[in-house]
Amino acid sequence: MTEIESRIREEAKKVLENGLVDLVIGWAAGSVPFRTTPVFIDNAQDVDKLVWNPVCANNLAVYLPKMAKNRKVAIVAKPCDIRSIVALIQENQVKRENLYIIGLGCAGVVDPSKLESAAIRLSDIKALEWEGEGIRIVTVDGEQVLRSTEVHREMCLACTKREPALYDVKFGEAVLPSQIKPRELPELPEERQKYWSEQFSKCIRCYACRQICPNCYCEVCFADRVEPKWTAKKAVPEENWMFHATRAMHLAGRCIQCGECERVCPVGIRIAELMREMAEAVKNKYDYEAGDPKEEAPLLGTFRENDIDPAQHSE
Amino acid sequence: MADKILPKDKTEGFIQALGRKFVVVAPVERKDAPAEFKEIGAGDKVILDGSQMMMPPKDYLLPRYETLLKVSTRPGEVEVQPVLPDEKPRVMLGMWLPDAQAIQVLDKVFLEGKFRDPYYAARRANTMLVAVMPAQMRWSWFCASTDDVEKWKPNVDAIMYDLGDRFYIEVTSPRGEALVEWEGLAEPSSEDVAGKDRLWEQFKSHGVLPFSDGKFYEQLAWDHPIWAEIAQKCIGCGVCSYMCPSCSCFDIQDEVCGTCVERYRCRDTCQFEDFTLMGSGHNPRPDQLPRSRQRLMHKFKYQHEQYGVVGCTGCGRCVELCPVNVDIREVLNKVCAEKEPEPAV
Repeated sequence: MTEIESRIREEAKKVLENGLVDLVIGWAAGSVPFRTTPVFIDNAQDVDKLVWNPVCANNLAVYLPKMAKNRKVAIVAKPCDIRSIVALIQENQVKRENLYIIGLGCAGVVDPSKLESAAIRLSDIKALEWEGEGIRIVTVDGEQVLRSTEVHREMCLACTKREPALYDVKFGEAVLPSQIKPRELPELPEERQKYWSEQFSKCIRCYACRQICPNCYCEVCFADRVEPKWTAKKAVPEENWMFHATRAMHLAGRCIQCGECERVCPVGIRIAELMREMAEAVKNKYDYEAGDPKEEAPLLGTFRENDIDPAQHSE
Repeated sequence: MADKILPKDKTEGFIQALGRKFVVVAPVERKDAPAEFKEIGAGDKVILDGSQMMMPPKDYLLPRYETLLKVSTRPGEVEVQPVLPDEKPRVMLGMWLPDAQAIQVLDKVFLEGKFRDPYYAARRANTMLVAVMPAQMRWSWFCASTDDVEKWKPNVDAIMYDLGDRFYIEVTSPRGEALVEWEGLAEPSSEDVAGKDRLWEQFKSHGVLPFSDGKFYEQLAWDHPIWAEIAQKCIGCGVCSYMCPSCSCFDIQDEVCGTCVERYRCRDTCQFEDFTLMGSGHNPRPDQLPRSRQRLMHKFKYQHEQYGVVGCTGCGRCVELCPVNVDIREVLNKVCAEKEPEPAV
């Protein structure tokens, strides 16, 4: 157990015992050493289930709109998860006073499929630990340290916001990547069209991207509506395009770039890249970043005099 | 039956030879995505060794989207045209053995009993199944926990064992003989036979979980607290069932385009809120708990009661892909570890 892990547990114990919260949401050890699983603790005796390691991938903010509606909840959160929480607060989906945020400095999260690509047998893994910018992998045969570019999630390789922006208590220090991964998307419109057509054609419409997204909280998604029918349920390229493009537009100025959509996609659609595109457009045109506590309101719920007029600025 | 050796460098010739007699369906490599079963064509890179995650073969037999019929209307006239697939001789290569066994489950649903599904039947009728036994067992497999896997062999027509530079082709059904007629195949040596037996023994002993007494379907209780535990973290997506090789639920939709109507079916899952939502607004499975329970009870209990087969064959896709790490193996272990089957009265 690391020092930070023990401090998380102590804090969870404290806030449950002193009645500050009714529930703690965090990560517990998963069914295999390269996964963790969300855990919901309402008894101080169970806090030892909480873990903090490089496979704490899930953005637990997804549970807040339902679980923190009528009660006080403590949540263990990475900086990206915290940006989700900020967005949820700004959009009135959760009340700040119902939350106790245990914020963590982050050093990036591991993508297990990259471990396989690095010729590590997943079944041999015993533990994963942070080692500076890289990851120490303990296997049945010994241990090795891999560089972050070899093992981190794509989102993490582009992330520079590794300090929590909002918290009640904070543990651990952020480790920033020494090099940011450059963009690889095609530039020409027709190439981009082709690129995204290929990506979306893979979609099987399992909606994992939508379900895992903390900011996709609509009670009835447009994709599930029958009257009017915005997009058919069949997984064919044109309908998939409609689903993903509409979802992206709905998340413009709202997505905080945690990359959960891409992590859970069973067919490898690079959804997070699309989200990054949207976020960059929003940043460039409106100087707005979703999930930033400095912003008082959601982008689309705000008017500023210097906002550009889309009619005059069609790119 | 005549087992054969296929040297890996002759794989292309073997597939071409099969292609003269059958429509060959196999996992085809895709960029940044699991390989997908399709009728292979020029330029397709086929993955036959079972070494990677692939889409379930059900995607070919029960497509994610399939037109059932088309209706065209003119004034005073309505014409209905069913759109049935061709019944061609087919061979499906490269599927994991648990995936092949999952097709047995699909057969029970779509071919046996009161209703025979003509669309599934047309694709399945003359289709031979060739399973692959990869050189390394996949970490998430727990096939031997779900059934006596020896019983699975006759359900496929051949099994290709990956012995490194060669495949050992074990013919497991009389009609499977037609698969090994190509002159490019060699006779197996005693070493090859030993290699095949070793792989089979590995498969039989791989992923055997503590609960495996073959009776877990008797132990799954409707009111077990585990359902609430799963439902609390489950996000209600369709990954587990859409990637599952045996989940077969579908939706039927009508789409109007001008003067014609298309009726199609597409995937659906008990994990979605609208799966059981009635027109009246009533939903008999109103939240995630009954939905999580349904998926597991259906696989491990109801399907066994209905058809005598277990609806899960241990392929491990849901284990690997669940976004919140609900591990079906852990669930079964927990349910079965604490409760012995009640003695029959």
